[in-house]
Amino acid sequence: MSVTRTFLIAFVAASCLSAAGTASAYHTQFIASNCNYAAPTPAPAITRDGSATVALRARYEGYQWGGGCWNDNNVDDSPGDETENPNTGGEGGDCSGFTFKVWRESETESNAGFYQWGMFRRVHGPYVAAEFKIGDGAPNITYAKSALIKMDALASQNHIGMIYAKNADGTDQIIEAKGEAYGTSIWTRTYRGDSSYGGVRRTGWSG
Amino acid sequence: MAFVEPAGVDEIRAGRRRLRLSLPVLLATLVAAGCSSDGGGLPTTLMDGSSPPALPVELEGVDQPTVLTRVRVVHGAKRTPETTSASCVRERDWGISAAGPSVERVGVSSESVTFVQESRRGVFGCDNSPGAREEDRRWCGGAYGTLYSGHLRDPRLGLLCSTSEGERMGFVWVEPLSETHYVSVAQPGFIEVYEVAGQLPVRVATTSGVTSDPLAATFDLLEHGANGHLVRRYELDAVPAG
Repeated sequence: MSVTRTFLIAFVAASCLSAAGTASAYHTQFIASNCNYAAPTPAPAITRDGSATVALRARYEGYQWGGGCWNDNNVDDSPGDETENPNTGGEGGDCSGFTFKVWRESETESNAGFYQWGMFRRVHGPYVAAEFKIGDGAPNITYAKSALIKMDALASQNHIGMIYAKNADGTDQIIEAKGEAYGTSIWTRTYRGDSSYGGVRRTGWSG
Repeated sequence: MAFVEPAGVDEIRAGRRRLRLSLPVLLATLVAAGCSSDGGGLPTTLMDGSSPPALPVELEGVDQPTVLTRVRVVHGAKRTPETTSASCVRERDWGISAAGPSVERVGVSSESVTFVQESRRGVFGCDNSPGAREEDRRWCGGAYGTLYSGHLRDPRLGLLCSTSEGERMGFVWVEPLSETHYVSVAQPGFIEVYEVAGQLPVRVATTSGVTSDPLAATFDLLEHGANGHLVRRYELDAVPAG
């Protein structure tokens, strides 16, 4: 009897631990199962439209703080992660990592060249939003907000999004990794009129 | 943007743009180049050329030599335009207001300023080192961290600063436990000690433990109480984010 009881207690405990382990492991699955660290391919300068095409592949995908890899199934494969937790291991980039990858930048900030990062390559780049905002990095410069065009960006101390299109009313369609609750997509935003945002341009486009 | 290499680095790395050497960088680099040690061992000066303060207690469990960094708490009314704190706000274009004191720190190969946002929603500040920086900037990096119930969820790794030899450095905010008086970081050959101040997270730097691909940093940390007793020892892993 006591042996049976001991076995049952051990079985229940093991089951609970297993379930807990499964729950805590959930958030590590996307990066662990899908992402790689393949070297980037040096690329010729691309056009703004070409960069927009790169960005659109991430549309409807997820958001991951400190992340940087995604697939192209138009589903956030890791919804509901904790905000600003770099350890949740989910799909997507964050705002600055998404911009870095779409702008095809180098991890070496003195290098202004173009580098193609695979969609499944986990990469964030060295810049956070506040650093993009003041034009840190050889490829990046600050730029007058009134003169920004497609695939330029608007950055604040803690967010950055790229201009997909200008609206007639002065607002913009911004393509951005917006947050855990939203994922990555295009939204109409008023960053251009917001004093906390500055204009940023990636230099070197071929057109 | 153009990058500036420190004096003593006589080769321009491939891909770098035209270099423009600024006086502050030159001075900082000369100080750093002279600094630092008696024969490659324990640093004898901090990044600004001053001598490190004496550490008033012995730190439990620390076998290596220690170097205490310098810290200054600057109250808002005293943040005149010429202060280090004011230069950080001015140059980094934060677009946000600070409340309460700022904390200015000078380490062996690092310098930082930390503020809390007026709304208490975040902390922000600037990082500096003896290495290259863009144009003639006073600061080579900056960070902003959102506070959730008064705490950071992410240490806000900064990676844009470098040593005088051109190696990438990492900066993070450490949130010490309430009983912690000293936060220490293992550096090659010595332990760099930071005093907790201003009820703000402690911005610490490492010249080791930084990986370039993927970009990340690991900090070997110790926390000690005011009388030198060990509070905790741990590793902090950080990645660039946000």
